[in-house]
Amino acid sequence: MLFFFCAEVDLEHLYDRATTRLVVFTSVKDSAMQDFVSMGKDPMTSDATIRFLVSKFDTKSSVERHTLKDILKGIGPASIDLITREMDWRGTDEEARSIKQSLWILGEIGTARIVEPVGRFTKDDAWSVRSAAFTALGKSGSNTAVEHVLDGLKDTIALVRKSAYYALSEIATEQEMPFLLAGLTDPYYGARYAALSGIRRLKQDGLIFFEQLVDDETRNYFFLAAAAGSDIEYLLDDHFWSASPATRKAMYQIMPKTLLEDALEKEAHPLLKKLLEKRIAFLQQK
Amino acid sequence: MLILFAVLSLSFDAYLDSSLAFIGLNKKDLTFRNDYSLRDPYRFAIIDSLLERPLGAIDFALAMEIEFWDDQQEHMLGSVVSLYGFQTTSASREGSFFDRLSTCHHILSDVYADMPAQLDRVFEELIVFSPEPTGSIEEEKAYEKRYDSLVSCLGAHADKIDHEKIFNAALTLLSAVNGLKTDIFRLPTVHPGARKVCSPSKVRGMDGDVVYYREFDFGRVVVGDSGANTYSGDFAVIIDLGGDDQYSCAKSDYLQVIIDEAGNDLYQGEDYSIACGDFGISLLVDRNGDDTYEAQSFSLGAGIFGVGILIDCGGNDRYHGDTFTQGAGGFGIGILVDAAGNDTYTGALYAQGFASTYGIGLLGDGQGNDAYLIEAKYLDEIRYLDHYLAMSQGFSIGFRPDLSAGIGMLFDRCGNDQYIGDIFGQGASYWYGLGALVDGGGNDNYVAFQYVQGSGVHIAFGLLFDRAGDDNYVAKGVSQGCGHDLALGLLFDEQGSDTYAAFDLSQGAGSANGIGMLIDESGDDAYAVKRIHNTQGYGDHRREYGSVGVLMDLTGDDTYTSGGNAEFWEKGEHGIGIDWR
Repeated sequence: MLFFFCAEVDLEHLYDRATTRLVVFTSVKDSAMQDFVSMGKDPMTSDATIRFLVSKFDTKSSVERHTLKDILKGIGPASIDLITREMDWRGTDEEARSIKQSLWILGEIGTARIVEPVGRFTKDDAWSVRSAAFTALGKSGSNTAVEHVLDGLKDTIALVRKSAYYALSEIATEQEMPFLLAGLTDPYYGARYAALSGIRRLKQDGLIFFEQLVDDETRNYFFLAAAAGSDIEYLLDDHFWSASPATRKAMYQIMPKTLLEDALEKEAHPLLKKLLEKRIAFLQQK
Repeated sequence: MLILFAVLSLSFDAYLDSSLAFIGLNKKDLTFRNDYSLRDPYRFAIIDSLLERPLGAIDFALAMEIEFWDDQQEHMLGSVVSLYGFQTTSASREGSFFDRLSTCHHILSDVYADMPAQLDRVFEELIVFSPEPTGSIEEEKAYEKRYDSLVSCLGAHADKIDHEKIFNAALTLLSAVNGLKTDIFRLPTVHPGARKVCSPSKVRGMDGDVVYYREFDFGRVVVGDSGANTYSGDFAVIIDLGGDDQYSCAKSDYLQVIIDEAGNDLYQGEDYSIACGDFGISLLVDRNGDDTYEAQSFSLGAGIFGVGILIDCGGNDRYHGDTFTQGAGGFGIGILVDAAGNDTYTGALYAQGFASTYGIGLLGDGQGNDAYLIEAKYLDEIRYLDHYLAMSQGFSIGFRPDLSAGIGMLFDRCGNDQYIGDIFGQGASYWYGLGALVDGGGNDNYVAFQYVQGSGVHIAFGLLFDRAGDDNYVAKGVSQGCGHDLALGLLFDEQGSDTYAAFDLSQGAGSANGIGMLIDESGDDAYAVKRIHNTQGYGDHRREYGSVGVLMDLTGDDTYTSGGNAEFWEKGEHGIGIDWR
């Protein structure tokens, strides 16, 4: 079958066209990529096409890597089995390009089917493989990946924690809220923002964030951002006015209009005065 | 050892802290890793270190500038060599000039005798090969195969060359050259009986009056008198005492030294000429006069597995080359120093402070109103049908993903200068390297298109630092403080009322987890862009987290497309534009 198919379509030739970098051949490239997607979806040619594409996963070329991702994402879940079958091969060197490419594409395809094959790479020795695995688990959208993901929240590598928090932000339920809250104080901003994104998705009551405010403007920024949209009472007391401009700025971005008007009378910081004026005008229009 | 100075004012630090706090960040968040890909053996340690603390690149670039203008040029070269992690043997001032040349020649003969034959012209082929236009996809793929094979060959064999010995020999030679002036007058006593006044016909490759000629183990030495002389031979050493001279010299074995004391001189050459250290060391010192340097590729302060240094001490000079010229280094060191005068530099590619892998390329210009021009010659066919690669003016690039870039810098101390380029340059770098343009004073004009004016691309550092003057910055995109793909791009302007114009992804833009910053400390400035959403303090979202973009203006009455005086605005996930006063 593969023999007859390959005799008809020169896959290498088509691949060369799909991976050209030259801007003058953009339409040729697009057409070749579409041909691959069509063949990957056609039951008659799917198997040979996907096997061929997977055989290219170890490439050093970023153009080829992106092209492969786009084609296989276009083919969709039909590729999952053939990709996962080849995942014992890391690639020709320590870079583990083949595995990382597999994880990336599986994540882009998504679905709960990828959780098991991807989950076994969350404890890989290479941080970049662990990070890619957590990202893919997040993109699976499946809460069955939570156990794998929790392991990554304490990883010593910041980028791995970022990916684990990203994954958690996508699949967490109320049960995992304490983990997301802890993420707001992570030393790495990528992790903090991912945790914030998860909390916003779950729409937690804002009061618990106010209880966390301390004399640390970075930490306060995230707890206040998490509280946005909550129905809570604010006080413009001495404690408020002694807070740093950055913390006051974060407060102004979540306060109701009436309090902003009160704050405008007392706020001395020129940048924050302008912010208040803008916010009040914006809320008035709303 | 290079000493890093904390050059920046505290106020900048404090303002940056406050700006970052407004978007929930602190300086510790501004960090990259140095192991996104396998480390090749040719990456500079300073790049690894700066990836962990990217803003340290500012201090590094400014410290390099200070070292560059050290009164003792040997110290400058020593600082450059120290970036390789090599011990610099204190350049010996003992022995005569010729003794020291003889010693260097012996060292170089030994080093290059062990040179792997596979390295012959591999680097040069890669350099001139890469921008060649391809008419078909088949040609493109054949090129990619050849490229991979050449890069692989370089990676496998380049470390067999003993760079430490070559660079120390260069230090010895530079020291000898700089101490030579008195030696010239002592020649008769240093070499009793050696002084001869020859008729021109007796010295092959020289027309003019000869005051000294001798053949040494390291090659032929000629000293011309102060009349108008013409040199075309393969001399190892030419010393010319004055007059308007013409040079079109052939290469000598391993080392070449030219010292011209005065006169308006014409230096002409093809590829591998005029201060080209191509598997060797070549020094040219012109002490006075309005000079013209005309060469092709690999010229005018170029180092390829060697060291090429061109020093012009004064006069209004013209420099013309094509590719890998005017302070260019790849697996070697290339330096061009022009101390004074209104000078014009023209090149086409990889020029004017350029570095490739394991290379350091520096162009320094002292006083005068200068023009740095890159010709539209090599089409950037990967991206455009109508724009041309420049890759110059403080630029460095590696061979991604196998070989890291080097360190390419352009230093201009003062004067009203013109910088004209197109794609890549004016303080930019690509793949584990650093490119910087540092301009002192004067009202300067920076014009280029993309990946320029403080642009770091793919795990690299691109910095443009302008100290003073009312400057004009014009670019299209990925420019004016833009970090793309885990890279830092920074444009820092200290003083003057400046104009910044760009189309998109510029003026403090972080892309694909990069950090982009445009900092202007003072003056009444104007910031104009076409696409408001991804400029003037913008960070996009990639790999499931954000990039960082900061536009920060500390004082002055300023105008923005995005906001106004004493205002701040946020764009993207971690982008902030902030006018503090």
